[in-house]
Amino acid sequence: MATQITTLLGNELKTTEAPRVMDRQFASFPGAHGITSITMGSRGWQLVFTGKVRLGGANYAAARAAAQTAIWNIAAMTAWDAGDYTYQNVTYYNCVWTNFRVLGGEKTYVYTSNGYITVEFTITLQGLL
Amino acid sequence: MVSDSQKLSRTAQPLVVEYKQGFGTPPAYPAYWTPLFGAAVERIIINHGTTPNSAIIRFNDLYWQQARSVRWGDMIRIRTDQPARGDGTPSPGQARTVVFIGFVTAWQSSYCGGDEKRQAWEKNSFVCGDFRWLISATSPVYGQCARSPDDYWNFGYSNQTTKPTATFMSGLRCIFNPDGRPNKDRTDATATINNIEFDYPVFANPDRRATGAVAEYWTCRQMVRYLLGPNFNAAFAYLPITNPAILPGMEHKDWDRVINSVNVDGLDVISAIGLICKHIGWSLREEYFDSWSAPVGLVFYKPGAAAGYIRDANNRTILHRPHAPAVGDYINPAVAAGVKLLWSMDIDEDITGVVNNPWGLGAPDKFEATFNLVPGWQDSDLVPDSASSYANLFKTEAEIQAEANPNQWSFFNKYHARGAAFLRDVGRKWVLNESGKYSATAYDRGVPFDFAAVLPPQYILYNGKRIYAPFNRSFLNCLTFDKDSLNSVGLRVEFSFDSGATWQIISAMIENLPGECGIRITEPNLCEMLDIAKGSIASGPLAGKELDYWTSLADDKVNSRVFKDGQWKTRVRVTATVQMDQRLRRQSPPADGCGSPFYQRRILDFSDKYGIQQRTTASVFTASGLPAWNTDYTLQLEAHVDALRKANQDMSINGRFTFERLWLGDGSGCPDFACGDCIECITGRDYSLAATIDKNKVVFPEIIQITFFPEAQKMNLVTRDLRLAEFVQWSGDK
Repeated sequence: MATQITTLLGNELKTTEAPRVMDRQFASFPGAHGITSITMGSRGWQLVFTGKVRLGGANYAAARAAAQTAIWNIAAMTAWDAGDYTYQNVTYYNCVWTNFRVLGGEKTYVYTSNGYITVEFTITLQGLL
Repeated sequence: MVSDSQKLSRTAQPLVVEYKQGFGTPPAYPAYWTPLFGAAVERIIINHGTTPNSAIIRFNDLYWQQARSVRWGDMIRIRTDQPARGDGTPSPGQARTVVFIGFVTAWQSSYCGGDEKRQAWEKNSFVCGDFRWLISATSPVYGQCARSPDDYWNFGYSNQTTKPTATFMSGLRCIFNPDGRPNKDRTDATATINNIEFDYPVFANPDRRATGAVAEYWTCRQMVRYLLGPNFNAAFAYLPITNPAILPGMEHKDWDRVINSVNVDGLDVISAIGLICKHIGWSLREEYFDSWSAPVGLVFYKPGAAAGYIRDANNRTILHRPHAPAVGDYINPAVAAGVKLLWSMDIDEDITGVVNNPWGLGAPDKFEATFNLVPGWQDSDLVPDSASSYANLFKTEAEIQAEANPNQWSFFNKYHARGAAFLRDVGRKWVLNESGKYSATAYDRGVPFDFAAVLPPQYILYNGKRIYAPFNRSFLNCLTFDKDSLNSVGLRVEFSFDSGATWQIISAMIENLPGECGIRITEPNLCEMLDIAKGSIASGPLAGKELDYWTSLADDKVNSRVFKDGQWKTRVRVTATVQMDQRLRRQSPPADGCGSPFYQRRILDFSDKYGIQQRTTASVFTASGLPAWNTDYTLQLEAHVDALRKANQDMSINGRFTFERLWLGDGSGCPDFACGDCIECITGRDYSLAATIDKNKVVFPEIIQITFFPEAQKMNLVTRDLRLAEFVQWSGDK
């Protein structure tokens, strides 16, 4: 059963797709021109998500604590086994989560004027096939 | 269709791991291979000779502590993954190569934490050994399979015939051709295991007779037939070799050779076969096939005999020409031609191991002759009792028995074994005087014995000088055998009472001296050693007395005869073998153009294999018609030393060659490289790896190990020079 990604990462998502890359090994020979290459198989495609955690609270501290917990929960996804995930009506099979990073300029936790903490993050959905 | 090997951009060749789970002890396996998912081959090492192949396989998706899906003893197969038809048969040109089949022997678990420089890692893997490991671990060799009396019909009768059965004699030692005697039964036995009937050779009574013997010599092929047959191969259920004599390579005439004294008692089957191979300069390897009925085979090959470039039944070892592109070359023509590109290489051409002047040392020379001995006591110690006109000169045993106090007589007191003042040497010890100890004034027995007077001059004299030392030695059993050729006649001691005109054997207790050439008469009463002719003393003070050994000695003493002047009538001579101070030895001088400018020598002790021993014309047995164990292995030693020089006189070429792809056959069904193949030269840079061992024969470095690294898609070859440690023994067809 595939998991909706928006339930994990929220709705404020941007994606960048990185197609499958073929892993090549090259061998060169001293003094000679040319190299041989061996295709070692592909690495599996990637879907890079950039999203925002947006959480409010009674005050800055409470909102920050809630946002912190949300960030930790997303970070923990990088330890999950391979699974299936759905986004925008497309199901992606045999995927793991990698490369989680919290993005930010001067401040990572941003308290907006109407009382939300927002934290920008990026996480990559890595297909294994 | 262009093969992957001929394209600049190749595709990695995946290796599939399959397994069969073993049940029971020893394990039984199902008929079909099951894929082992999640297994990645880390490396496969293919070895030659008695060293087993091994494979290391890793589970990349398991933590180090997690349970594996294979157990110890499960069978593993690693193969290439060409697509097959629906019925499992390969498409044309798409035969799968089986790279390894073996058994899980070890689990390996490891991990390491990370640091600034590297990540943490975990590894969960297992190691497999091949069938040579299994046979060596499960199949010890001891005892002999031989026929008991109940394995014959009518045993001992003239109509005796053999039954097809034999019995295992656990107390006999498994030694082929012991001491150069044939001990293989001329008739094989037959047995049935798992409903398969097979013949196997058995041992027989060692018998050196030229005709009429039940035994014949074990050839090397017959030894392998015995060892690898189902009786000793405890892995027979997995590697069912019913007739080892038809294994690939065994048809060569080198396996007809006979080797003496091959002791494999206590070894395992593989080590025993390795020992035999080493003697004749052969090796073996394990091969694998994509076959239900015969997936595994042992192949024997002769190092240095690689020829041709296509492997078939005539050329089980072939030559290879790997390619190192020349400077400035483009690699695409070579790749398009399908040559094997060398990615890296180390070669070591080394003269330190050259032996171009070996010295072979055989056994010390031995000769049988008849030797005249001298008395080993002082004349003053032998004093016959002269009282009452020599009335008490000697006493018979009957007289001694009847006398209450025999010690009153000096004959008993000093010269009888039970006497109170018994002189054990006087009248009893006769010696050769080879060192001159008895030439001194006290004994005064004349000059030391001159071996040059009785032994063949070509072995005793060199430029007129005697080439032995006047050192003590001892008498050895004669080389003469009794007429059944089973036993030496031992030492022959003869007595004369007429200054050597006639000789007789007198029954008496006599011992051979261990520290010098000589005998000691231990017969208690010397006067009971009677003259066979029943004579009497002819003249002198003892005239008329019965002639026996004691009275003859007494007669010589009483008449003041001088032994060294040849005046004694009493003489003793011994026919025996003596070992002299020179040995059979040969050196093989360096050939022109051999590998080293120095005379690089090695001493090789062949004293258990070659020697000269001869019954000389000075032996009384020469005219007897009895056989003698004469040997002269001069020619064999020369041939052996020459062969060792030819095999070792060139520098060694050891190398490690790494290829940038796996050469696994590319659809041919067998790997491109096998142990025993040779590297002829390196094309591209045009470097020859030939070593000339004599003007007609060129040899190349031989592959002794192949390692596959599937994850890196590279493979290694290790080569070594063709040092043959042992050479073939001379055949037993005398």
